[in-house]
Amino acid sequence: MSGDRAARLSTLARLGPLEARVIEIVWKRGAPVSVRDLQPDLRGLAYTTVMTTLDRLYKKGLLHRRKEGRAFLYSTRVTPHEVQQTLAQRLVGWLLGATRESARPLLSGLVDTLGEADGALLEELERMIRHRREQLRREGR
Amino acid sequence: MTYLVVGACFCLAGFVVADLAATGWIAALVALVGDGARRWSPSQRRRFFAAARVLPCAAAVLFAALVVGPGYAWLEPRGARESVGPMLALVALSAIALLVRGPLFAVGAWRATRRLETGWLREAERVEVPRLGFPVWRVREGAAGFWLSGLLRPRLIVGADVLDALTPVERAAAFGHEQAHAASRDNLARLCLAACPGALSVARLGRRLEREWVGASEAAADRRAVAGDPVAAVELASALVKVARLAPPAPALAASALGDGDVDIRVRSLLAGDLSPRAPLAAKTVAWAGILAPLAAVAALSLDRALVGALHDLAEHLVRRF
Repeated sequence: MSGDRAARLSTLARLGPLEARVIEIVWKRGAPVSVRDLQPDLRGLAYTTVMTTLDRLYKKGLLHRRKEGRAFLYSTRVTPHEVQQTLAQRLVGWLLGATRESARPLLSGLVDTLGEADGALLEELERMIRHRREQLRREGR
Repeated sequence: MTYLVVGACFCLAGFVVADLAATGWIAALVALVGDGARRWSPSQRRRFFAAARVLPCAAAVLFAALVVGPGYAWLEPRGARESVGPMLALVALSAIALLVRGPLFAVGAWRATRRLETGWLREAERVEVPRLGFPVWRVREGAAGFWLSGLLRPRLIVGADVLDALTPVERAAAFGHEQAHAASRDNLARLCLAACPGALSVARLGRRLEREWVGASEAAADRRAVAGDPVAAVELASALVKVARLAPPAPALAASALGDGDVDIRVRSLLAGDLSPRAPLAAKTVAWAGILAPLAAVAALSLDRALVGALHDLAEHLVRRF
């Protein structure tokens, strides 16, 4: 994947709800669209809001634009297929990571804290064991 | 075909949402129970932490199967021209990742066990231990420690230095501890917990629940091996300290360590004879009610067709919105 495309896909993952909705509609149209073309799908939103959103997406590098007459026509630079492909690649990488990092054997150990046991602590525990043994001996057990 | 794909994506998205909600619930419940669980008996702790680890996944699967799936089948017309939008696809992919990662993790753990075991057994000889119920292998070369392996057919693998350092009574107490692990199929349970999918398989809370479960299993095995005999308790405590002193540092194994205080807690508990605490009934009731509540909520939801419909409408609205 080129660095430019990777950056665009990364940007895509951080879009706000309106930006994501707009880019999805542009994808669905499949052909370059103007602000006016999008308005029927974005009822309730002002012309200027749609225009600003498209401009923001263009500046983020997610849309191409070319001037036709007095209006800009926008088209996507990242296809849904590319997004799905990248997500799938990342997913597979993450899943394979699960098998690599899971070198945790399925064993029940008498003491699991191997190598971590503190010497002074063990000496103290040994003293306690000796003391308890003597106590039990005195009690005749 | 599209109808089925969209339906499957809806179910997967339902799994993610319910799994996250149930994980949040478990986080709150574990925080509520807090250190109070330390006063419970090891068996009670063992059951609680295993249930807490498994619950979000179980509730999420039930939610997807009993609420989202039927809602889609009832309310979505077969010929509807729906498509899988990027948001639904993303959530469905996340669900697949969460569903698959746990089992993959378990496969990795099983393979790691086989690798270690194969290495140990290359330099091992079989030792006869009467009435133990499973084979014991004494590893002549290399540092092996004291491990019970096998999911269904247990076998004990012990380093020669460790076995030679234990007195016959300490050895008997240690064997009793491993017998208790074998009887409660702890390795199999450990595999099931590791394989359990969902957000907990990647969250820190999931690892904490598994560690708590391991700690409780060790304490339960101690308790069963000792069977209330103070002399056996001292011998087992002595065996624990000797093994902790002799067993080698092994990074691959230390990954599943219980924490520095574990030997300390277990030995003190054995010496104090503090092996059979019981949870107060109220605390136990609250904890188990908390565990069962999400399952009961999903079951109740699945029986209310109006709610199932409302949830389906909400899901559809969200999918269209994003």
